[in-house]
This record gives sequence, C-alpha cells and structure tokens, in this order.
Amino acid sequence: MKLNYIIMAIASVLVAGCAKNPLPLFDEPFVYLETSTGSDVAVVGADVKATSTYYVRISCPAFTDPIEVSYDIICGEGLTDGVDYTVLTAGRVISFLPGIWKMPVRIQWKEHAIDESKDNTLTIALTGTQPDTFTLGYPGPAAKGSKLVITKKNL
Amino acid sequence: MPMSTKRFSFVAAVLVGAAALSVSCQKKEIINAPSLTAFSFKAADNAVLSEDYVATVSGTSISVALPDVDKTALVATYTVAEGNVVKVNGTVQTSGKTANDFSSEVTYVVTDAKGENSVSYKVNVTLAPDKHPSLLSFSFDVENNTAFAKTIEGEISGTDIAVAVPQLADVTALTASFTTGAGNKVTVNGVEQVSGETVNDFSAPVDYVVTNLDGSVNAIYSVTLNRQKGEWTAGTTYDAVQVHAGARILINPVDDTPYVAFKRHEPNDDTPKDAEKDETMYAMKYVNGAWEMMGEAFSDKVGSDYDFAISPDGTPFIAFKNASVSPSVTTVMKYAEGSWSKVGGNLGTAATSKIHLQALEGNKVVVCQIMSNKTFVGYWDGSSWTTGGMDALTGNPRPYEIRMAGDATNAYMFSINRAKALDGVNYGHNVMKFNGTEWSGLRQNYLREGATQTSIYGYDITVAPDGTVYLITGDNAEDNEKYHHRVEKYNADGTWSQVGGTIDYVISSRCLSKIAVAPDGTPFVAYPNEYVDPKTIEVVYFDAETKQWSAPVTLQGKKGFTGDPNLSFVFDSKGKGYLTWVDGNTLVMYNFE
Repeated sequence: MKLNYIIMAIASVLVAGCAKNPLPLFDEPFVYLETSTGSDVAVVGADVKATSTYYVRISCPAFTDPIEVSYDIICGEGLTDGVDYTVLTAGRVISFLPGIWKMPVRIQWKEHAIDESKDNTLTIALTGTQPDTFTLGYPGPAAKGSKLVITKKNL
Repeated sequence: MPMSTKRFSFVAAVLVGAAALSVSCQKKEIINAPSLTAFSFKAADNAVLSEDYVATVSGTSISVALPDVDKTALVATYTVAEGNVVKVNGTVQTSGKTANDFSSEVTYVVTDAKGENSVSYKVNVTLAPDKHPSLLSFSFDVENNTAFAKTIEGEISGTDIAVAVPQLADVTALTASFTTGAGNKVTVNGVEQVSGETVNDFSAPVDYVVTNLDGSVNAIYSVTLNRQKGEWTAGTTYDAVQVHAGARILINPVDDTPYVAFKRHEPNDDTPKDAEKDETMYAMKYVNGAWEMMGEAFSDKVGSDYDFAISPDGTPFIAFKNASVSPSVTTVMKYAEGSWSKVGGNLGTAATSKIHLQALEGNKVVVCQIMSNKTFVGYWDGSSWTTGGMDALTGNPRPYEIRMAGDATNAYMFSINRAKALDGVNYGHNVMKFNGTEWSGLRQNYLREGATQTSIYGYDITVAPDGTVYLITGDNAEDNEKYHHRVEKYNADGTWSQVGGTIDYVISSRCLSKIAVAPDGTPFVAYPNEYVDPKTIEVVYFDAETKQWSAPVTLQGKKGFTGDPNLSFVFDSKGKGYLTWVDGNTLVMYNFE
C-alpha cells in the first residue's frame, strides 16, 4: 500500500512536469528595437551633447530581397525636435539588404534642460515591415522591443 | 618419311584454321575520341581553397568561379575518356596532381591514344561573389588627412570600427583608407566609396555597407570616432618576485613619484618558496622608468587583506591583516628614514578583514575594517590609537565591503551593507566622512530608486585634487536586470549629483572598478572586461564637451588575468596617469599622458 502511494506521487510529479508550459519558440520572423546593451529603455542626461545609436534588428531565415522596416518617432510633450534632439537617420523606413541583420537609428542629443514635470520621453516605435510577415517586437503578448523608450533627465 | 599429300592437306587446313582463330581472338584496339567531361578544383588538393569548386563544361569552354585566392598554382581534377592524353603547354597532366597558373586562360589539349586527334578545352577561372563581404582594414592615412599628425588605424571588432582620434581634431571632412575583398563594393548612404579618396563627415558615426559581387550578401560597418584626451602606453612591469593580488599604486605628494606596496605571493608553481619572505610586504617606487625597492619582507606574515597610504608629508603607511598573530588582527606600519616600523600596537580584538587605510596630515592614520561582522575603525592621532564602531551613525549593520579615500584633512569610507542588514534595504551603501575629530554621514543605507540592490561589484571612492568626493557604484535602476556603473560626486551644498549617464559596460562578477580624477577634474573609470578572451582592462573618461562617458580604451595585460585583477589607478600632479593590476602574479602598469 505504501509503495502504491509512492508510485502515485512520482506519477503525479511526472504528469505535472509534462503539463509545464513550454518555453516560447521564436520560430516566426520578427523585428525588434534595442540599445547597444540589449535594453528597450534608456536614459540620457539633459546636458548631453552627443550622438547615440539604437538598433533595429531582424530575426528570420536568410533572405534574398531587401526587407523594409518602418518606424515612428514619438516625442513626449517635454521634448522638442531640434532643441532637445535631432534624429540623424534619414526617413522612417530602414532597408535591410541581404546579409544585414542589424541597422542603426541615430539620435543626436542636444544640451537643453527639461521640465521634470512633463513627459520627457522619446519613443522609437516599430510600425510595420515589408513584407508584412514580421512580428513587431519579440513574439509574445509583451511584444518586447516593439518600441524603445528613451527618457531625458536632469541628472 | 615423306608426308603424304592427304596428311599435308589436313595439317595445312588445321594451321589455316588456327591462324584464323588466332586472328579472330586478338582483341580489336579501341581508340577513344578526345573528350573532357568534368573539371573541378578540390580543397584536398589546393590549400588555398576551403571547399571544392566544380566547373561548368560547355563544349570546349570550361568556367569556374573561385573566391579571391592565389590562382598561380591550382591543381585541377578532371575526367577524360580512357586513353586520352592531356597536356597543358606541352606538359603532360595528371588529374589531381599537376598544378597550373590559372591567373589567365589555360588551354587543356586532350589527345586520343594514337595522337591523331585532339581537342582544346579553354579553362577560365572567374571571381566568385564574396560569401562574407567585409572591411579588412580601415585607417585615416596622414597623407590624406591634414587633421591628424599621423596615420590612425581603426580597430575592427565584428562590424564595429572604433578609431581613437585626438580630442580637438576636426573630423568633419576625413578621407578613409580601407580594404575589402575582391569584387566587393563599398558605399556610404548609397554613395560608392573610393579608398583614400572619398571624403565623409565623421562627427557622427558613419555606416559603410559592403556589397559582394552579385549583391547577394551585404555587411554594414559602423565607424565611430572616439576622441581621446591622451594616450595609454604600457609601462614597466614588475615580476622579480611574485606579486599577490591587491597591489596598490599611489603618488607621493612630496616628490610626485609613484609608489607601490604589495604582498609577496607564495609561489604556486615551480618557483622556489622562500619561507622568510613569502607572504610579507614589499614596497617600491618608480624612478626613471624602473622600479626601485624601498623595503623587502619588512612585515610579519600578511593575511588576506592589506592596504597602502601616503600621508601629505610623503610618509608611506601600510595596514595588513597580521597572520603571524592570533587572532589575526590588523598591524599598521610606516616608512621613515629608510626603514619600516610598526605604528602603535595591533588593531582589533578579533580577526579583521577588508582592511583600508587613509593617512592624513601630521601622519595621522585612519583604518576602516570589518571585525566581528561590524565596521571597526581606528584612528592614530600621532601618539595612540582610538578605536570603535559606527553604531551611533549607521546602526553598524553587517558590512559587505569597504573602500577608503581621502585628502589631507578628511578620510572617507564607502561601505555596502550586507543584504537587508538595515531597515530591509537591500545592500544599501554608505559614505562616511572623518574630519580628524568625528564621523558624519554623507549618505547612509542608500539604494537608488528603482534599483533592486546596490551592486556588490563595480564600486570605488576617490577624492579629486580639488577635494571633491567621487563615488562609483553599480545599480540596475535603468536597465532592468542589468547593472551599470554610475558615477556621482558630492557637491559643496551637501547634495550628490550624477556625472554623465551610466557607463555602457554591464557589470560582471569580479568587476571591481576603480575611479581616479585627473588634475583638470576629468574623472576616469577603469574596469576589467570579462566578456572577452583573454580578459582586458578598459578605461573610459567623462567627456566634458559631450557630457557623456567616452568609448572605452582597451589595455592588454601580459597574458590575461584570471579572477580579480585588483586594479589601482592614480594621477600625478602633472596629469600623468598610472594604472596597475596583477596579471599572473606580475604587476602590470599602463601610463596615460
């Protein structure tokens, strides 16, 4: 009888183990944004006068025709284009040639004190791809990397 | 006996029949027409090739595309009809053996066995598209760039190219020289680049796209110019005896000379041990490019911790965990009139650790250490020790680590509390000040908002030549689970302000960083980069123009350190920097000018 209980317990553990949710399988093409250290958030000082590079990356099988990724720049009410920053990367469409998996988006930050009470974020947000078979951000409900939020702060 | 006519006829018939049979049994010779049906270059026969390349045979034309390799001695493998003889320029060929120069068209003459008929096959080797188009070199040559006094080579790492340029150079119109594989095209913003000719504005990173011959593969290289305040050069190493981790370099303020104190390491290799000298303290100074000893084996046996300080009047002091006594408490020694002597009695009533030392004017000494899971401080006023804890100020939670710095009149202690040792704050940190009379708190049990904890790596404290306290800590307040260095300074109004953004490097274990401030007020941070093999040391500085931390300069040690390289970093009064670390029991030094 005691042995039966043990067997049932082991079986329960095995069944529970089988029922565990599998790790997400990234087997679909997707595109995402990140900083040079792999984050989807960043902070920049209000007194900074420098160019920062952020990256658009694609994950997919090898391709032969260019892939285009569209993005938008969303500016919080506390920031002003040309005063707080300038987007150096021309246009809002990035073309990935065959063999290239990472493309830069460059933003020149300008020294300008900000009003801490306002929204001082600059968001790079993916808006689409061509072909449109790519998921925006990592697959999954969080869509991590579908946007990259940079906050300008008085350090 | 004469043969009868009948018999003769029979014999003749037999012979004729045999002859006929003999003729009919003799195999008829087949002469194959000259024909070459397959042609290739095999990697096994050609060291310059990494894979086999099969040619296309179309009539008498043979073509094959090879990568950009030396074609002057390639061995071909081919198939011809049986009996055919193959010659190139009159030389008989052996498939898979004979080498020829395929830099230009090569004619293979295939002849039948009788030498009566022949066919000439023309072999042409063309260039195959580069499977991995890349930039092989990148530089700004002095003859093409008046902005520079010498040619500057770019450092290619993956698809990033970093070029260290003088801080004040005009980089708005530079001409790059580069090399790439044969057949590749290089463009910037769609404009084809000519090495040594095309001018670009490098005030922001420039992206070079390399496209192979048929456009099937591309690569993008980002060229970033890193403005350098000066240049790091390798200094004189010290390996006369094995140096234990923890060697510390300081500048003697009296003669502006670098001094180093270290514990002699007991050899863990074939080097003979020395029972008298191993595990004792040594001190030396750096004079005219050489190390000059100022004391060998002058201490008792040294335990796991030791520190070094020089007072404003130029007197060197050491403090160490004394392994010759039990319990192993702290001993302080000073160097005067050419010899080392103990400063008062030993410090502590139980074994000590994390021992740090600061010497003030008047040869007063402050020691901070851990004893019985508490911060334990000692103050030598020139005649006696005063000891105690910091219970009244900090609650004296169990410390994880301690660092010290100071100037002529003040000593500063940075400490991290172990886990949630005080008020539930996870690894809160403290900065305490001792002015020769009393301790006060500049920051107590502090954890940055949004951070999980203060990093237990990547911290240090220093005092700039103008007396400003600089602190480097690590936290994950802005990058989720990743910890970054953050430098702060203590302002005259009693507030802390951050210096630039966080440093890009993600703090790894054993990343025990060092901060030093040059006489012009520029903070520098050095840290071990554990993500490369062999491990290196990287140095960044705060760029007052961009208000950001510079791109790192990489310094390479002797053979790549293991564990904690125990960095030590100082500037002399003229702005020359000295950075040391222990690399395989050798003291490595780099100088910044």
